[in-house]
Amino acid sequence: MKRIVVDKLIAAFPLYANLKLLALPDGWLGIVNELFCDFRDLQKMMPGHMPLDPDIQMVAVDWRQYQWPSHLLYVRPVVHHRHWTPEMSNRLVQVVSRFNEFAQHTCEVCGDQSVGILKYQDSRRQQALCQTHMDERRWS
Amino acid sequence: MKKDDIHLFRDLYPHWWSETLKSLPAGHVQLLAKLLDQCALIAVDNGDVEPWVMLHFERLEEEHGLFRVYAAPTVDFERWTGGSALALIIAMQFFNERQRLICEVCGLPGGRYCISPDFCRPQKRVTQ
Repeated sequence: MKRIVVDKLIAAFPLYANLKLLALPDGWLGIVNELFCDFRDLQKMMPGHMPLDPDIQMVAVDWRQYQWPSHLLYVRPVVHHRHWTPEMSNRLVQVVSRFNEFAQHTCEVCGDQSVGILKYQDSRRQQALCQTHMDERRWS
Repeated sequence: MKKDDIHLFRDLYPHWWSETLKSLPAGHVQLLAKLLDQCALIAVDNGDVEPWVMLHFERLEEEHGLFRVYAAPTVDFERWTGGSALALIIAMQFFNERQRLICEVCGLPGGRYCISPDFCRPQKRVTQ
């Protein structure tokens, strides 16, 4: 992701966004944005949560780079375990699984649904791409 | 971590083993054993033999040079129960948080560095 985009994410989600996002594909902006909203909403499931409570960090995020999928989201809980309910825990598992699943089917350039994975002949890493960007790259 | 422990973890949990764990202090090996055992049981509880999570270990400067475990669930989230998910979170937090409470050398509670020099003669590690 480009610096200007990452800076906006950091401003919007200071508890979750950081410069590690620079390594992620441009097309992931939408799903990353949704992911951070989901993390923020986890707090609302906490017993005794009040609407005006200040945001607290629920999880810490790490992205690991692989051949495929290109990046995988890992999290660790940060807020003390006494605050976690089974429902919140299950929701966190769901949010992380869904992100890793969606990410593999998201065009790494524009964020549309991907139609396949393009393997390059040179050392570039393979990419999930939508039809438009697949065509564009295949002939370049 | 001692050589024997390295072999043991590598044999028991090849899918979770990572070379960075070699530098886990000897006193914290039991914490790792409990974490991996708990993570293995989550699959067992649900009648599965394949691991239900991938784990990533990292030593973080901003966490006083302690190890932190991160997880990514690998099986369909619809198979997870609230109980299994909570068990995973608690196992991770015990591993992450208890390192501050357990002596790096002898593995007994009372702080990261033993208070009794007679007991385990701590070689205080210099952390940046």
